[in-house]
Amino acid sequence: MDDPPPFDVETLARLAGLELPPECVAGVAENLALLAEHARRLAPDAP
Amino acid sequence: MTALEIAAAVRSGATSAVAVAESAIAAIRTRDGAIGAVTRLLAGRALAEAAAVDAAVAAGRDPGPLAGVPYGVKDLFDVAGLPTTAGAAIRRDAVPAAGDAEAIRRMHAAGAVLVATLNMDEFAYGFATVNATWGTTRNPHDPDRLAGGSSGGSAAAVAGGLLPLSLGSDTNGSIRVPAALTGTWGLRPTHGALPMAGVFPFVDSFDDIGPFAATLDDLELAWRVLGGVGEAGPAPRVARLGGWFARDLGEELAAALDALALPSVALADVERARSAAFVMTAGEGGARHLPELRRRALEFDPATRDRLIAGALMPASFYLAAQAFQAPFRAAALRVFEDYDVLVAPTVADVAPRIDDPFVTVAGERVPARAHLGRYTQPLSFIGLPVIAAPLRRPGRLPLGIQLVGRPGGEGALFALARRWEAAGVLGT
Repeated sequence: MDDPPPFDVETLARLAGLELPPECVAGVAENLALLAEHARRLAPDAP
Repeated sequence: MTALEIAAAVRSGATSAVAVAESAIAAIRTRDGAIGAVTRLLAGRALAEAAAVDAAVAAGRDPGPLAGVPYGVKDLFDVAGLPTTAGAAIRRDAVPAAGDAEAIRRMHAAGAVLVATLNMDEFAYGFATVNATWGTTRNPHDPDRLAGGSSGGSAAAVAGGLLPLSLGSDTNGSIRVPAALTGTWGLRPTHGALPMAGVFPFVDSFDDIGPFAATLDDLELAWRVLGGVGEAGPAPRVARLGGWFARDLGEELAAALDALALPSVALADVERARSAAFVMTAGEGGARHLPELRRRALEFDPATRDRLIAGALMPASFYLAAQAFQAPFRAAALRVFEDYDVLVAPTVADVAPRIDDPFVTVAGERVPARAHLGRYTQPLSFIGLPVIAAPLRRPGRLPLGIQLVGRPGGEGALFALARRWEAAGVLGT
């Protein structure tokens, strides 16, 4: 990913008791963004 | 030889189970290097099981309907005395299984002979069978192409003629996708219909096991041995799923589906169903592996690690919204089955992607095959429908496959239609 993630995945990981290795940060952020996109489709008012 | 032919020859004494097992072991030793389907060759166990079958035949006892038939299992079935790796390096030295998975017990009781464990994507999370520890399973029809996954070793072992039967698991398409790409028959049964005891879990909401075979007769026999029930009934009413299932198809597959000349039916909200399956898979998979991810994330396969972590960190509201969508989508699908017994859909849009270019085209964009090969399979397993993954008959060309989809418990109608279309030359290997 070229852009920084729109949320702080390291803090999210710490909340889950996981010290996120630096090599995972971009991939986890990318996958969380993808999950958010899928979740948006499930909203009752989604197009 | 097919499984049925082997069993008949062993039961009649025309050949011995030991000779069949030795032949399968030799085939794996000489030919699997180019395929990469097998993770562990169980030669000692296979020869012992085969000797017991021969002893039963010699004593006049019934050795079972799969007498002496060699088979393999995806590396997530418990095999007594071996670690159940689930395709993960971190489980290579796991405590050995105390006993066999229930499915293996049933195969054993029917006289089948376990010969090998078979490659998969780590923890069954992928459609590629590109594994950082056990390597990439290659497509026997073209070794430069993917075999599909996550049960890629199970499909390739059958497609490559190493074994007549194998067992795999299917959460989002992990039997159906590799069956399509390798030109084998596969069955994902109704959710919960076959025993999961002793199978390493991925996503409890969707996980099921099922067989792969080179022939439809062998597929049905394995399904019945595993515990499948259901009768064919009258000629099934058949329609083709349109909408989502008609988009982004390769030309040859689109033409083959058009040639079936079936009425088209629409199922609403399929894209949402796929999204819901995607979200629930990430959530359940991530939660399952979070304890080990806390301890040793970098020992996971990079291909699955970041997706599992993301699933573990995802808000619970995502998961609950996805889960809430299951009941209405299932109800809508069941309404379609009031008018039809079997729905036909593509399994994968086109032939197997190349290993050095693992992408597929969706809506004009190139996207990774690992995550997107299941776009036609995920919405169906999301609601637990039974599906036969059937190879289109096209000798000499790369395989293409279709899904024959039934209502829950409707496997009999699927076999009836598959048999009719096999006789008509539409389906077959």
